[in-house]
Amino acid sequence: MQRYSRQIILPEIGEKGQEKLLNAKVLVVGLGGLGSPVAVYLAGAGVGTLGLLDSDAVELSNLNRQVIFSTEDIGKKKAAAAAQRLKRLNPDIKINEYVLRLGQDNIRGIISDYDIVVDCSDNFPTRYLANDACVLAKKPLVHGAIYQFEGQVTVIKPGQGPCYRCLFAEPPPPGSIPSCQEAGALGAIAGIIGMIQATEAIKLILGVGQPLIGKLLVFNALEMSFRKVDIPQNKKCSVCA
Amino acid sequence: MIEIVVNGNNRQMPPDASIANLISQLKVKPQVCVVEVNGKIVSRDEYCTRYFKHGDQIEIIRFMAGG
Ligand SMILES: [Zn+2]
Repeated sequence: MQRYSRQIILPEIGEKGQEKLLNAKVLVVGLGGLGSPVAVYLAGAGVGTLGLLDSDAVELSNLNRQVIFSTEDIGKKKAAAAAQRLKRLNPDIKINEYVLRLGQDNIRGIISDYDIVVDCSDNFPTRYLANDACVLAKKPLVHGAIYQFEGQVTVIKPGQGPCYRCLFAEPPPPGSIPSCQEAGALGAIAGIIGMIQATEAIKLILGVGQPLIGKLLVFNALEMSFRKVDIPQNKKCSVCA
Repeated sequence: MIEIVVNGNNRQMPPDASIANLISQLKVKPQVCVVEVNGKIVSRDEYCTRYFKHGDQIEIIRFMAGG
């Protein structure tokens, strides 16, 4: 427990809170710029079971932002390389590796083993799939996304607030939004958004504070502003209504 | 002119300005954002016919999926 002594001192955590963290199971979907800090901070905090899901291998162009990987990891599967790094950081936690893409066929089975899902993916189909499956399975989902110097975070807690589709009912037309590969991505921006996602996941596990349920936190690094925008619940939402 | 609040910043608009006018001024494509007026999402087919009132709070929320 000495490993966690600095956070056990926090009155909101204590020994009881640390037990909750050690018993928690969190699935990290996507091990890119967001998933890297999410996985590192959750492992450090002692989240007892971490699922690491990504089908890709580490590439040189990932390393400006995907801080969980090192140059010698290039070519390795991200889930395996991240698991190796986290085991060195915290050998006490259990890590499950998933080298696959989430799809309709596998998502329900995978998320059923976890208490919380953190969406760190890099594409709209996965984001809508994760939202829909988490709403149906009543799993809390911590959503985060970045675009150039901006980012967004929200917490979807089925039954207690709106879902992703309440705000963004349908995906934008394919090709209308450039990916990180096309639009560019700065590591520090992904780090800020990922660390907020990790913080929200920890708050949900502990049951402390006010998670971003029904709120979209909008970050703009050029203005260096954070704003909270209300997400209205759509009474006709195709998923959560 | 009327004053509205767009993403937290005050903005002057002519009294007959619509959502379509605002997002074109801001060079935002309608298909890459969601617009809320006073906390309610406005559907895209109303952008040309939805006019602002003094004091309206507008949020233009961009679609983003990067990770
Ligand atoms: Zn919904």
